[in-house]
Amino acid sequence: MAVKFIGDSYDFPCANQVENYGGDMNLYIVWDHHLIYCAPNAYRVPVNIKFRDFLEQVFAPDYKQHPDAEKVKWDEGVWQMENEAWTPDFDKTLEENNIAHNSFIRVNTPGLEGMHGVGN
Amino acid sequence: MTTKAKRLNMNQKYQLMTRGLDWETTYQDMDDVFPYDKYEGIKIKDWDKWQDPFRLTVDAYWKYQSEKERKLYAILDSVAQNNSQLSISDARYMNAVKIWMQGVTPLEYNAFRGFCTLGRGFRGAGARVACQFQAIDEMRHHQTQIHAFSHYNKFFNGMNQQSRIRDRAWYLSIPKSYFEDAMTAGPFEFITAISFSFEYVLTNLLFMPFVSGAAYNGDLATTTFGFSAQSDESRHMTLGLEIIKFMLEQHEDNVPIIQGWLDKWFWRGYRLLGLVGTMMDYMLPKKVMSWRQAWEIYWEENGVALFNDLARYGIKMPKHHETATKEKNRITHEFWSTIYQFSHATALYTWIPGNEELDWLSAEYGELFDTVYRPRYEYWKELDDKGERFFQERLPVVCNVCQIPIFHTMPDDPLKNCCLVSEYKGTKHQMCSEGCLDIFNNEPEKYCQAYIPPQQIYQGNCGGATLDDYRKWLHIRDEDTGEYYGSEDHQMWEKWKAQAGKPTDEAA
Ligand SMILES: [Fe+2]
Ligand SMILES: [Fe+2]
Ligand SMILES: [Zn+2]
Repeated sequence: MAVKFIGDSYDFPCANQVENYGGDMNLYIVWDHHLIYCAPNAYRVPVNIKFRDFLEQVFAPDYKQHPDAEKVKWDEGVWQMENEAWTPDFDKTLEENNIAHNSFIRVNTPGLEGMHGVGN
Repeated sequence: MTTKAKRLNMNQKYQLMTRGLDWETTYQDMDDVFPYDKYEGIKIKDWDKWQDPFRLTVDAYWKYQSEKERKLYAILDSVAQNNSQLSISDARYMNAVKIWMQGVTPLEYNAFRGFCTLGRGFRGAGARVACQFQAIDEMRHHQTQIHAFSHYNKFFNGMNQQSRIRDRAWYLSIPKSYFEDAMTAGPFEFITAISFSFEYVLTNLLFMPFVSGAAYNGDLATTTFGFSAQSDESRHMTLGLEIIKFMLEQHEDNVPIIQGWLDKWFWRGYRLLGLVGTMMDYMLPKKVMSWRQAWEIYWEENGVALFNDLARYGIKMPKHHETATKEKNRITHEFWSTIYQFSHATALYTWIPGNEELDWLSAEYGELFDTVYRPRYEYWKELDDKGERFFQERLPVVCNVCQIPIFHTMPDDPLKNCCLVSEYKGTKHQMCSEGCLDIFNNEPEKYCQAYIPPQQIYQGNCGGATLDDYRKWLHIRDEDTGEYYGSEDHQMWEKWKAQAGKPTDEAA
């Protein structure tokens, strides 16, 4: 099925295309089982930041009110991209890790599964 | 010599004053006069088969409505004169009014616009007339709501930027996008979406809980406009059922098209109603019924019975209804958790429910509430007691269809966010559920244009890159937002109670 329309064509650019980000991109990432933070986080990021720097300097501080934040070791995480298994190289940039505009990353940290044993 | 004209009965009057005024054009092709009622693929063989169950004429309509207006405005006057804001259950209740006024009242206005379009768009005179009356009703609903709420605006925060935040605020893009999705479709899809899915199937989950919630919580102004709108609503519901049956009976080719719209608008409506369920469960200090219970009565019993009725036309249950039912024990808690942590970016206050309310939620929602959400609230309460009230500073990923932050969890795993992706024109789009993913994939050309607040903020179109900049751009003042306890509304309420010699929260 496709959209039904009047006239000769119906063709518009995506409102969230990478061209609108002046060389940066959007990155979406969730730390599974830490649901006191309700949703995956969205970031506007430079493409050449090292993945480790992003995690340690940008991402982790956002979970500062969670008791697991101090204990996390990202290298021990189980990673997914677009909900499929994926292995990042922490010392390479986002771009070198094939992380593209609007990529969705998920990380699971065995042993750190949120408060109350239920992912809070 | 004059002869006295014979008095016409209602039906004759209706025939003459509506359909009798219609004609087949000859100088111009009918398809040029009515250019929008064929492109969706709906086939109508005989517009005269349209039955208008009310057979309203303008003079009868005017008489009924003016009578209702007189009564309504007499009560609204007395609400103002008698300081009726003092008789509400608790100032927290006012946040239910705020969310209605910010999010739903603008939909009444958009309903007016949509039905104006339909009142011109259909080539059948009976359908056109019914839509014209509904357009006037919807304008009336918009006006009476603004008038009823204007009294509260004198005392409570969060109501003074209605038209600006309607267009700009992230949480109001949820209802706004719902209606604009319908308004940018053709006339048959609009009427299926609004008259049938919204007003017929789901209205008992929207309008009824709000109005009875108002009555339970001592809000006379809202109760009064609610009752004043009720007879209009029953007309609208009848129109919704009538149009669906009419389309289904006109041509068998219409059935799959309508099924597709029912699938889409059931899911969109259900997602939108999560906001109303959250209001029922959390914002009403005196509870009417829980979302779970309302879902069981109005969907699992009544809704399912309706779809069983439509089965004779070849209509099946709307897609993903099983998922909606699976989510009935969690959706409002997930939604409240989200509004709670983002309330510094809304013109609403939020709070952790008191112990009695938590007990009520435990009783209504059972084990899942006790194991997941209750301890979560208790943790947030602990933080608040330490002076570290929990707010999320980072923008969330938002669903590209329903426009809700993706707080939703997997249908079979309430402990894990569900975030699905679809690529179109080289750009990835995120959706909250299989329901929203289907809607996107059916019309990616449309949804790829969606105005998604966090994306727009990061593109630099909303006043700056942080939530603080964003709030300024919304013209929401610091004192309109955040935690209820300690807010200006709360302080004022405590002062009023002390003056009236009632126990305050601190004393209680
Ligand atoms: Fe209405
Ligand atoms: Fe209506
Ligand atoms: Zn969605």
